[in-house]
Amino acid sequence: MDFLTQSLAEAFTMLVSLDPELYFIVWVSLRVSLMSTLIASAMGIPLGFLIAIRHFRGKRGVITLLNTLLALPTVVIGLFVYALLSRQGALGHLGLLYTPAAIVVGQVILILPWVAGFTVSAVSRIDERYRRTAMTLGAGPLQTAIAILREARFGILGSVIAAFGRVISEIGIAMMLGGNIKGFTRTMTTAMALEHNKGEFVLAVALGIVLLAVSLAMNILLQVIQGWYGEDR
Amino acid sequence: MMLYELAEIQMRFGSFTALDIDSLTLHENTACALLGPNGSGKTTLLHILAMLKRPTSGLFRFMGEAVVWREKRLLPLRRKVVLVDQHPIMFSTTVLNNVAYGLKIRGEARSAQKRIVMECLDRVGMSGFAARPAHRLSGGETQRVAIARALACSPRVLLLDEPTAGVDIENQVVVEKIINDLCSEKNMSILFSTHNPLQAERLSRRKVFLSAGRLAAPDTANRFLVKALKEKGIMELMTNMGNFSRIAPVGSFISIDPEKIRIYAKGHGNQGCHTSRLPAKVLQMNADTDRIRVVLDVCDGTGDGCGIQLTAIAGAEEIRHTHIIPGDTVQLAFDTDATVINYGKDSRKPPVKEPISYEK
Repeated sequence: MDFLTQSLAEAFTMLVSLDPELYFIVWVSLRVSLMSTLIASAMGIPLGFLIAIRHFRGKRGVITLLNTLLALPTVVIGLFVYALLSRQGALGHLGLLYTPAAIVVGQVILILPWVAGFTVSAVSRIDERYRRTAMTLGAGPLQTAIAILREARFGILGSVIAAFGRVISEIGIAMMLGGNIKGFTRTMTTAMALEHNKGEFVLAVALGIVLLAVSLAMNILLQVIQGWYGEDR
Repeated sequence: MMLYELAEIQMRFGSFTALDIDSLTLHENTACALLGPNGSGKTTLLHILAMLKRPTSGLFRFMGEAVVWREKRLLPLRRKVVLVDQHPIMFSTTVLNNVAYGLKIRGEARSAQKRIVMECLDRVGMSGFAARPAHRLSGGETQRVAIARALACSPRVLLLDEPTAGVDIENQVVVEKIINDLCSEKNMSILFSTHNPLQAERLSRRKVFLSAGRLAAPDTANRFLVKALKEKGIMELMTNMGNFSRIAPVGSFISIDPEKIRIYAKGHGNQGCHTSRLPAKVLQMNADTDRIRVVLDVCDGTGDGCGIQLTAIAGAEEIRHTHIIPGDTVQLAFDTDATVINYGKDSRKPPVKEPISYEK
């Protein structure tokens, strides 16, 4: 117990003293996770929207596939992307392996089904009358799509926040594709695993506190958005 | 000018034909009521007229132009027509932004937007609600804002799907007044669906009747499912009086022309040559120019009103002689030629094996 309280006390000191190594790791984590969330959202929201509003053969199959991909293990993604980005891989010439970009590629694959899948359910829940109302008031296809997306905005935003929470806390992709290089690709989760292996708990605990704080902030944001959502309907 | 011309328009959902209109024309600057029972295709027709749904087949002309069902060609035409749903939905923003939606879409200047929005809200008596969240309004208020939202687009045609359904009396009166004012003031054609023949009479110059997806004769006002009449004992009462030799199948409909129903005060001995006599209670009497529209509740075998409402239209003088007032029990009489048998949705023609005939 003393060990834990001592580690916590030292971790807080580290946080308060603005330790450069700690904050650089936090910065790398946030930068990589935000980038992958942005890219996945830019791809996943239109994809989910199209799947939700279009009627096509095999639609149920696509939705089932998206739902299945929600459970894709990070190490499996890490392995496949590693095979692609390694020197012998199809994209080896890009030299992305063990860079933040490689982590972003893996994380985008991880959360794309999340954003697309939850966008499908958010848009599908929107009343058909919104589409009809926008159209009868003179909206073209794009303006109608924007009106529907606007009505589904809280559900979609919730999915984006959940996806960000997923990538910031994952370790498999960051470890396998980033290589945990100090000052370059070391993220909060990979640093924590390393410090644990070294038996150095202070930095690990400090990073754990930051990670929990980020997760808490994400959850509070999600709750606030869901609150707006509930009030607005 | 001819507003709509429909020829051989069909709307099918799989094997089910929701709408089958041989020919229908609607003129500009008129108010037209669309009547018919639930499931008769009123909403489907309104969606087609609003160019929101493409008919399965047929020719559809709008303002003299054959409509090409391609989005690019459709958009300019669709912007001349606005449909207000039976239960309108509001975008989750303020009343002001909802009413301004059509104007924003059309690229109207911001200053003009606000002026038009306030004018339209004022017209429906909702100007004090501009800053309110639109999705928190009551049903009647929502209906009024939806009309304001439609008016802001200055459409040539305003389509209203049962504008007073599910709305309280106060809002019903307001909505009816708005429609009435629009008909007389604006250069706008209005087409609304309703179940209420009195409302149709009050607000429109022309009435279109739909039955089982097809245009029907105006007698649809008194259109009953034979099965329902049998369940209430009315068919038995009619056959006991000896007017029908064979009764239509339970799945068919019987229509009674309101203008061919005669009303006699109870105990009046002279029923003339009419072959049907039904006891009924007078529920409502309305003046309609030189005629009186009487709404009656047909009595069952026990002499109580059974909830089957019949409308009769008679001359004011004729009604005056009967001395009847609402609440009285009267005798109804009509000849067999006042009745028409309509068959169910699935059969366009009467079944050959069981022709319907009456004998006196």
